[in-house]
Amino acid sequence: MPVTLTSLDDVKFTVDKDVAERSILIKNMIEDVGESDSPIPLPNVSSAVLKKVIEYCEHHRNDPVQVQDETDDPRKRSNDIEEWDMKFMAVDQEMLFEIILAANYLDIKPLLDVGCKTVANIIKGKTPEEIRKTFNIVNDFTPEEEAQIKKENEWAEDR
Amino acid sequence: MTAINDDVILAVLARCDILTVVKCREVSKRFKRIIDKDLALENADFSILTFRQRRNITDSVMTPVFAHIFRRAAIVDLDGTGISHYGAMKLITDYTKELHIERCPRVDLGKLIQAIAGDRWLSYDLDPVRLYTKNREQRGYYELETIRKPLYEYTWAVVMMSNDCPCKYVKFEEYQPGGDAIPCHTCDKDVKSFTMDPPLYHDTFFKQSFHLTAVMIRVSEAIKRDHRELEEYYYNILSATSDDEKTRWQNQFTWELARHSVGEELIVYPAMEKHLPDGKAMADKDRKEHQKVKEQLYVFQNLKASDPKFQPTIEALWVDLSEHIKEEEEQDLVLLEKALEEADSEDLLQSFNRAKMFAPTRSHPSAPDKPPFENVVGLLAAPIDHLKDLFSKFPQQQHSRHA
Repeated sequence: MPVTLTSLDDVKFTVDKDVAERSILIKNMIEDVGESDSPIPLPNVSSAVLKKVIEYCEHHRNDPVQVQDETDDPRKRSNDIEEWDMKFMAVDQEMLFEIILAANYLDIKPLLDVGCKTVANIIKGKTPEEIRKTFNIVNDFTPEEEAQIKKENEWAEDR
Repeated sequence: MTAINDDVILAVLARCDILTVVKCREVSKRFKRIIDKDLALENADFSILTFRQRRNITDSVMTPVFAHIFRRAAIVDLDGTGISHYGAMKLITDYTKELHIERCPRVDLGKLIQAIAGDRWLSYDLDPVRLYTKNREQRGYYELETIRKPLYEYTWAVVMMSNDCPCKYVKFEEYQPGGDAIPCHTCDKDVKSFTMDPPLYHDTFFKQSFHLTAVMIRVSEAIKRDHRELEEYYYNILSATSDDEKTRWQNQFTWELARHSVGEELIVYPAMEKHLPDGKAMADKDRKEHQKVKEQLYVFQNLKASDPKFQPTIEALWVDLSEHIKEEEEQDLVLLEKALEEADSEDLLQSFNRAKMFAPTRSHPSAPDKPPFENVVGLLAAPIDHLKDLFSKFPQQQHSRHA
């Protein structure tokens, strides 16, 4: 039975239940409310983002549900992103963060994971200045504070 | 990025390698705050962690970084590697497979054991000698046995390890200096050991099981090591964020300084007088400096962390103490070591370590005798002659052990 989702800008998406239930938030909601025809409102997600999220969920609809306990997994590496996911994540930065936020809100762990890994890969190898530039972050340290942190971080310089 | 909440930044950082995370501290205040306060770095990727030797690195620099990475970390700095022993222990037990430590020939596994005992050490919880460690590869919990020994003996304990031992358990083993090869507890294979002083920077080091043995260190090294510890505690006091934490480091600092002073006054200064032509004058000067510091320590140890005088007092104390330390290391100890034969230095070290027993160390259950002083005040107030008497009655078990 299909489920209807309504985005922030009031666009309706109809998807299969198993696709919608990749989102733990929606899954719990359906469990709580019981099956009904009324659309599920997602006031935190815009239609453009929701479309992407649904695309992801459809592609991964048959994935085994991720086990909650990941502690025994090998370390989450940022270089083991599937090819499809990588292409899926090849979006502009704003969209990338929107997707991450949506995944966070909708509680879709694998999507959140892949989003964070993508950002992690962007950060990797960049200098702090480059990171600031990339993400439009203001450097709010005073020169003294900055020098102090640089000193603290000296040990980690790869040389 | 401003719209992104801290949780998401945290999630991203948890997927970055540690060096990237550390670098991100420089990005902005918000990043630094998230990393320093909130990030549980256990989830970070340690796989590319490569520590390189940094001679100029100090504990104070390391502490803020490692204190949160390893939670209770940074008790002692592995010489020059910039990694604390507690941190190293965590890495060894949790991340063995992925850790590469390069070129740290002076790693002292004795200190490491102290650090392993560290949880008890700081909390004065005396009993357990068993620790459990998770070996990721085996996916189970294995016992990491430490030896039931007073911790001060480990000044002598340095690592031995072997390529021969196929098992991957982390295992410490007692080893008598000059003894034969010992079987590994776990795999029973005889392991040929080699000592610290062919360099330790074997790159399979931490992937192998290792074995404890003793090698000689000179008394000046032991003293310098104490100094480094004091330095570390001092900076920990300053950087502690809560009163509770400050108090803990205050205790640690007070005890360590008291013990160290007693050791020096009883053993090292008399040795200076004996072996050096100007020894008497040097020792008297040092004693005077000690006295000044001790008086400050009296005041300091009674202060509550919330007291407005807390910080100024320890800072003032440190000004004097650090000057004293500097002089001692640069002049007195150099001269003393020159005058001493190696064997003398060893003897002296043993005495020095023994003298430190006067104060409960991190009171270990198997300490041979109840320390004669239960608190710092008692120790500091005791006339040095009285200490000398007591000292002569102290069991010389270190001598017998290493005889």
